[in-house]
Amino acid sequence: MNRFCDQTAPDAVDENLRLQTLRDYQILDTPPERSFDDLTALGAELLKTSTALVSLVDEHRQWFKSRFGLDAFETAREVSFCAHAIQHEDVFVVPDARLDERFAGNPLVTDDPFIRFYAGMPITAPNGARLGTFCVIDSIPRSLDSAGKDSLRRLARLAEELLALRMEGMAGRFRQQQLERQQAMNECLLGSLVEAVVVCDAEGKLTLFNDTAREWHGADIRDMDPASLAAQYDLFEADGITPLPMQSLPLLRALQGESVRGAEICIAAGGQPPRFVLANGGPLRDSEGQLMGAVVVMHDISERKRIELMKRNFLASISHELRTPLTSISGAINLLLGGASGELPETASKMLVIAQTNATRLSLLVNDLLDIEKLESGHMRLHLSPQLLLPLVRTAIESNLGYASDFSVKLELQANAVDAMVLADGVRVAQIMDNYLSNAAKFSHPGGTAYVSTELLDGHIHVSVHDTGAGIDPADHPLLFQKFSQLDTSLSRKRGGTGLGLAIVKQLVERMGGNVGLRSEPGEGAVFWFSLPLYSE
Amino acid sequence: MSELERVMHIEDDPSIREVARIALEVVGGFIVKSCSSGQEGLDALKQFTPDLILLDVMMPGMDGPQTLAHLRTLPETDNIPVVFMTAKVQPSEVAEYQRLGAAMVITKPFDPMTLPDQIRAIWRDWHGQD
Repeated sequence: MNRFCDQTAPDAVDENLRLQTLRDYQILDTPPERSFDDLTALGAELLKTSTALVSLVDEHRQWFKSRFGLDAFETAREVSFCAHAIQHEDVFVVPDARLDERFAGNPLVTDDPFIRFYAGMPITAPNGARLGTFCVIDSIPRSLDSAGKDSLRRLARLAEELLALRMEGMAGRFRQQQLERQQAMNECLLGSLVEAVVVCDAEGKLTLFNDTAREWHGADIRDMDPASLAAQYDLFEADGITPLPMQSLPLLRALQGESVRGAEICIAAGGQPPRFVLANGGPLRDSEGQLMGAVVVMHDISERKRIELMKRNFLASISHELRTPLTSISGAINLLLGGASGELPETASKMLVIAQTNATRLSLLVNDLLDIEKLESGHMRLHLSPQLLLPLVRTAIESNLGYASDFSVKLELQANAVDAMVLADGVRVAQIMDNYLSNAAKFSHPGGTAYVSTELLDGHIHVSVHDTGAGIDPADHPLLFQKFSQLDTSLSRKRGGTGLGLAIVKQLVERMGGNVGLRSEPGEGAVFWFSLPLYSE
Repeated sequence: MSELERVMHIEDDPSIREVARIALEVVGGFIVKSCSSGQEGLDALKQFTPDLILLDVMMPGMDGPQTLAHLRTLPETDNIPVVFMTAKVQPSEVAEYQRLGAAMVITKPFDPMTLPDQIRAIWRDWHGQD
């Protein structure tokens, strides 16, 4: 490439690592920095030379981070004295370049700036890579005593320190940038959620509202006592009317350590229609398990509530609309059958009985539909009072004797625990018994007997109805207490029933704190039971 | 105490009105005035002078409880039992109707063959309490 090629410094053994380390410092071609410039000025002053440099050697050149007494900001690596200096561990001195065969022909010696004297001390990275030198240069030959060498070593060490500090600062700034970016990302993320996110610190003070939370509350975070949060942000219970007591606030419950799931509350910020929300949340803990605060995420379910209300209104109105004609149909049939218009021919009576049976069935279906809807929506009001269970069971049996005899089935009571008290709604217990007893009548073999037994088990009173029918495959048991699940729909047509009875029974019993179930094997009849907790004053 | 003779029935549905009329007239042997709204009932009150009023709860315009409230402001209805007729109700609703001044609540669908005896019994209870 040029005539000095044979005199360029040989590459260091770990040149690739050295170059990579230099790149990591991200210093090449950066603007001058005062600390480095001060260092070179001090160096020239201290060692009485015209020039001092902080020189960094990359693949093709040496570049000066700081230069005192020199105009050039870089020179080619082939002509670089420093490229030689970094081959040495210690100070590298050239007293008179003209007398040194490695440099005698070097254009920096033969031409401007006419280098005669060079002394350079490698600047070394912590991994041992020699990045360049702190060097002093002069245009007159000189020597360097040991004090001068010491100074040069110290100056190089200072340059190393400066580089390390600079690197640390860069890393700090980088971390800061990363943090800021992460934070911006988090904010953007929270802002883009359709859910409202609310966070408080360990003291219960609000620390974060995302955009949605701010919009729903009609306000931003206000500095206040956690106890007054509900009032300040117009929070209500799921009914939309009762102010939310402090201990029901999802965020404070989460702060108490509770994992809040599906808590329904209402936010009625000024100027906005009440918003029904489902809240999920929990405590926030650091890696040591120390409580840092709590988070709650809220999902708007107003639309769902609106649809539920529509469904309820629809059912209420349709049941009224169905019952009104049913009332006159049943009434007219009963009048005719009762002879209000005189004696009827036998076939006419028979057909009217069919019409009567089906009108009754239709009105039972309407009642069942309304019941199941009320139970599922939580609008069924039970009137619980402590009472003896056995009289309810007895009355139910008596009122079903007639129905059972239509199927030639007898009903018998085997009573135990005769003085057991339960906290129950008598009307609903009768409804439960009606369901079990009418099923037992329908599904027992004609001429058979269905037994009703009561017994005390684990603090619950169990009422069981044993039929003598064909039994039920255990695989079908789980289906039975579900809505609209009659195992054999042809049976239901033949024997009546809406497919809702057992679903209603299950919900009613559960609402009174009890359980339902059945035991059955094919061919051995079925035992349907329900249990209610024993009442004690 | 005389026997129950004159029954006013207020009900918006014409079919139910007709079924009830036949039940009360033919089966019960009462003199019946059928009215299609609370207002019509109030208007016919002076002329018909019922012994007992059967009142539907859900009606367009003035509903059962509103009609009852009007009736109770008239001195001539003081001694007339008012019986609500409504779909299957919760015990709490029955209690609420009775608090409003209803003598009894008859649930729909009602059996027209037993309706006359039902209201006779209510009428006797009402007057037995005097």
